[in-house]
Amino acid sequence: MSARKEIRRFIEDSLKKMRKEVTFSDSDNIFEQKIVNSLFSMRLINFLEKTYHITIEESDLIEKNFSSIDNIISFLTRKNISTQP
Amino acid sequence: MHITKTSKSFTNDQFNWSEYFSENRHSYVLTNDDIIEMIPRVRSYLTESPNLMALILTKLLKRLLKNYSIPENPNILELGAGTGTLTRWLITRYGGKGMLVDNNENSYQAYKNTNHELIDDMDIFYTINDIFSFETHNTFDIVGSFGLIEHFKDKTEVLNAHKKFLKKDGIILLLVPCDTFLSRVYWDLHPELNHGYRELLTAEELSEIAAQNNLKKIDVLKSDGYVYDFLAGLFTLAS
Repeated sequence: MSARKEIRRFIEDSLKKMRKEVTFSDSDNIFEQKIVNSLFSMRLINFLEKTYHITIEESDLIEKNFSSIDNIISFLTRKNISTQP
Repeated sequence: MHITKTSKSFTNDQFNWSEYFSENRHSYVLTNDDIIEMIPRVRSYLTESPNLMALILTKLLKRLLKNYSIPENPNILELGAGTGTLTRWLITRYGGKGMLVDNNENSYQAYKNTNHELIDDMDIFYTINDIFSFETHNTFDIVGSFGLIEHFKDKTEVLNAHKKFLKKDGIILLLVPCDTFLSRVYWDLHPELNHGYRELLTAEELSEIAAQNNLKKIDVLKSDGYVYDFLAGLFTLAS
């Protein structure tokens, strides 16, 4: 499965647990649209570190890197993570 | 990019460069109406954002704890817990289980409303209780509070509550608002948040308070990038 699909699945699974029925595109800002909350952000960072075996550095911890699926993919690409299946 | 607002009534040739860094000349530029219009705008810049808080907290705690070995699946106690932000961060990161203590029913409801389905994945027990009088048979690897001790003039009693159920080799995490220009502006601009007594502390003051109460400082760090500044201090029991 591609990273894009894995990340979408992670977000959608979290939303299901929160009983939120939301449709969003890969470019939608999930923070600005208040689709997710602070607990989700903590889990997302943990998910990315564990799934892709990366260390998210202090300088990486800015909203833009995690605000949409597109931005997360760009971030992983900059971290030299292959995002293709 | 953010472009700063240019004064509508102050042209370049009127600008007094010799006083640029000295006297406050706002009365030449600002009317009372300007000031009234400015306040909501500045308040909107300095508005709490849960997602930004999560990132800044992650940045700060990762730095604070990077050289410290947290035991596997730690047992965590959070006092004056509110929505349990600190415990949720620790469990997300390290696993383990948490006990949250807060005497405010509204805090408990806020905790339950913070997407309880996600929280229910976590092993957290919430008790509505006084932090000074509650009892438990458990001891804890980590005892912490986020925005608690600054509300008490007498720090000894509130820090004793942190030490009471701490394992001998456990750690205490104290998060408090930091005394910076930004924090002072933040709380001045948000009088609706000012219920009762609150101290803004410097890192030196927090360290001194800890030392006076027989805590050994491992490190105290300041946040960077949030709408106010806060400190995170890591302490152990002094031998």
